[in-house]
Amino acid sequence: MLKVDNINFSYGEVPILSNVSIEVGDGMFVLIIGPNGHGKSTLLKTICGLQNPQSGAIVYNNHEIDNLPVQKIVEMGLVYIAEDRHLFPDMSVIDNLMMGAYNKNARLKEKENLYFVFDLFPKLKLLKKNVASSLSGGEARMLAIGRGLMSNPEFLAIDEPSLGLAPNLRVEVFKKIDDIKQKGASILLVEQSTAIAAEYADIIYVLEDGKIVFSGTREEAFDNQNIREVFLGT
Amino acid sequence: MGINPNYKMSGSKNRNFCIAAVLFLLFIPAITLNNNYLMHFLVLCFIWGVTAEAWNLIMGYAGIFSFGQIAFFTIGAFAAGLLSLQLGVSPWLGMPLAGLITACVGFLIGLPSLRLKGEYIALVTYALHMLLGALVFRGKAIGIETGGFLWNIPSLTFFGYEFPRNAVISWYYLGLVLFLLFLLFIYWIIHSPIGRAFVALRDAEPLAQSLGIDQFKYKLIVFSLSAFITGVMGAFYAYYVAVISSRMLGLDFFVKALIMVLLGGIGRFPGAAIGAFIITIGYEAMRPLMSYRLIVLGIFVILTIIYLPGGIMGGTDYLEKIRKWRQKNKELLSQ
Amino acid sequence: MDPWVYKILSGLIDGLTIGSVYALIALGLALVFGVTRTFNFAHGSFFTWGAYFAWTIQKAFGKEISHLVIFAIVIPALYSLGWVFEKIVVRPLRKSTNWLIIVMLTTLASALILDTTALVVFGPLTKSIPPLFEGRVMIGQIAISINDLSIFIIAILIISLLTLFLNKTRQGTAMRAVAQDLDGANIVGIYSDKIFGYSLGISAVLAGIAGILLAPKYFISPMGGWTPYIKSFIIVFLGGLGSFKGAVCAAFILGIIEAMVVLYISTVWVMPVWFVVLLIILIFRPKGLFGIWE
Repeated sequence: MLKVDNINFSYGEVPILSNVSIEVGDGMFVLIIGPNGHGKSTLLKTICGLQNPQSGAIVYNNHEIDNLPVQKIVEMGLVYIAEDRHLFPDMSVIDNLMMGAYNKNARLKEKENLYFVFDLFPKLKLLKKNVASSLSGGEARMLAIGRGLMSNPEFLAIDEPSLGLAPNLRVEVFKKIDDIKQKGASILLVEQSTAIAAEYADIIYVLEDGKIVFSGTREEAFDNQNIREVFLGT
Repeated sequence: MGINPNYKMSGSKNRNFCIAAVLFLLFIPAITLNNNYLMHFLVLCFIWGVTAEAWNLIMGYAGIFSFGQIAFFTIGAFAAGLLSLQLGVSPWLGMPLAGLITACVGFLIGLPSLRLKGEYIALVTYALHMLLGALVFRGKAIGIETGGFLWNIPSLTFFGYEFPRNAVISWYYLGLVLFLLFLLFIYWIIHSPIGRAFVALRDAEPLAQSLGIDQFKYKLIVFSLSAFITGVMGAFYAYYVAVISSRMLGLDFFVKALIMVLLGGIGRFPGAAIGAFIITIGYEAMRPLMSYRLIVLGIFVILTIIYLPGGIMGGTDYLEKIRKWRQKNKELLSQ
Repeated sequence: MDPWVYKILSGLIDGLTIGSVYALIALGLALVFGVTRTFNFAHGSFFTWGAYFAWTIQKAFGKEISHLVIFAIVIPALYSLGWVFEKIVVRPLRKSTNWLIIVMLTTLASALILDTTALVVFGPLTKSIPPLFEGRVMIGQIAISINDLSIFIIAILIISLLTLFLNKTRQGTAMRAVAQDLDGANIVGIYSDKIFGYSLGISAVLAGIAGILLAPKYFISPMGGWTPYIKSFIIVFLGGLGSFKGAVCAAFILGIIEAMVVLYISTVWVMPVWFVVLLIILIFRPKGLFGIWE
């Protein structure tokens, strides 16, 4: 479904991603782990159209998307949920969610998706009139994911959803993401706190220094002693 | 439009060019047979050249996007005029004093605003410009005539010789001296520890800050120095033209000065001075166009910003870029 | 009625009238700033050109022409002007470093072009257009000019429409979204470039209509847009950067202050008093009355 083929991205003269290739099949949950500052966020941003790679190709559902703007990519069903959330602070929860359904494909499925989001995150339904800036860290994270779901995604690219959350909330977030996957979406997740996320992943990539240094199934990752110790914390 | 770190005028090529230029300027009166019209414009070039470079100093090197340069110029001009008219201060004293007054204003403005983000400095300094307009226009209380006019500003007297109002030559040489003096001063600042601190701040901010380089302090120093320089040139202008008014604060002056800096290339010494020469002479050359001149000027600004972000001095950068692009495409084409 | 009460009331009425028009101009500026984070220095030129458009239509079709027709023609014209302006002058530069400053510079240069073009086309002499209505109406013991009343009503109407648009329509909400978080807006699929264009188009319309409303009283001249622009600047800062309702409130407050200053002191003192008021408020509330900005 998503194929990233040998992309390179530099910020000015500084190379950030070097010959990165990954693949996400339909309905798969792919996890990208690695040390901080080594390009994980950049990789996601480049895939989602917020940046363009200097070379290489990104193919989504047989369309080349490496030069498309993020808005077009969202219309195609590839939705990005940022680490910084980027919620609309002075709008209510419900307004934020409705803005999530802005793109023309999402508008048709507005009611359906809203129902799904409230079902997944009942707390958001309770808070629906509250202004986004008044939400706690966990609630905001839920709203960010909920808003992303309103964009009617077939593919979710999520950047560090558990950052800054208490451990019990972290578990819950990953469970919810897995629930979304069960509904048929493909997930590409970037994470730092990896032990929990790895439980749900089908495929794991390790990104170090802007290069892919490991790719394999969850079992293969756990079998690999290096990976297990350094990243999975066991 | 990036800020260019290539400050160094390296190489003997540039040095020779400078020496030749200076010699040329020294002998202009002889060459042009004391042509007042031509020399007048060169004096204006000197004045604007220094002002533009002073603006370039804060915008291109210190990275402070101030819209207050013309305000400083006007403060210098009016301070000098008022000092000499109201208090009988000698013009020779008036110029440095006006510079000091302007520097104080710059310092006071800089204290609260230099800590703000870039856009806010632009707005605050623009507010200063607007406020000054109101003040000057209604400055009856401090001796400014209605409409912001100051008339009959006295001329300079040099050992009994009074600089005449109908011959430019003495003004020309004084202007040239000031021009060279201040350009050298600015050059010195750029290559001083302060200037180097700014390079460090631009290229590696976290490292520079960890070394204890206090950005704010340096910005304040440069800001005040630039205000001083501009104030002195404003004062000189006042003594030279003898009549000043709030017209100085008009949009056309502002845009002219701005385009000088942009044309020369922000952050490239002495691009702004070169820009000043081009604009001053070019504007006069466009005189047949009358009011349309300003339209041309405005369009010129926009085009320069869009297509020549490095200004004239950035031209070499462009040649480099084109060369690299050609190389890269050659590889692709030959596959 | 006591004469001094009468004086205060008529001052208040004048203040509300002028305040409502200032609110239009200030809203335009606040809208552009809120959405694009940059100040459009050519905003005053839109004010002037709105008035000149109206004058031209009048010259072409005769003085009897209804203001309704004038608005019907001018509004789309201004909107297109603003939108094209954004496309040519603002958008190409958004990719450069320091683009906020650069856009300020290009809009400044554009102001020069627009003003000088007006000078060349229309000449330096001031012009005028007749007011919307003649005559006065008595409310209690106070005489109010019908023109002033209609100006107030029109301005309030436009402000209300704008508020409705921003709060209740999808595009209006998208505009607020872009203002609140540009990246967020992009990732939900809002084409922020288009929104930038809308905001400039709308702001041009607001400024232009204000120009038309004030033209009968204050005359039209090529550089005439600068004073209203400077005033809207102060209003937006007083109201608080980023706050639309702040801009409207500040406009009325300063409008009333202006009317009082003109009545009791002299016109000359309006700007200095405004500056002092702004300074005082900023000392106690550095973000302005309703400011939500850093």
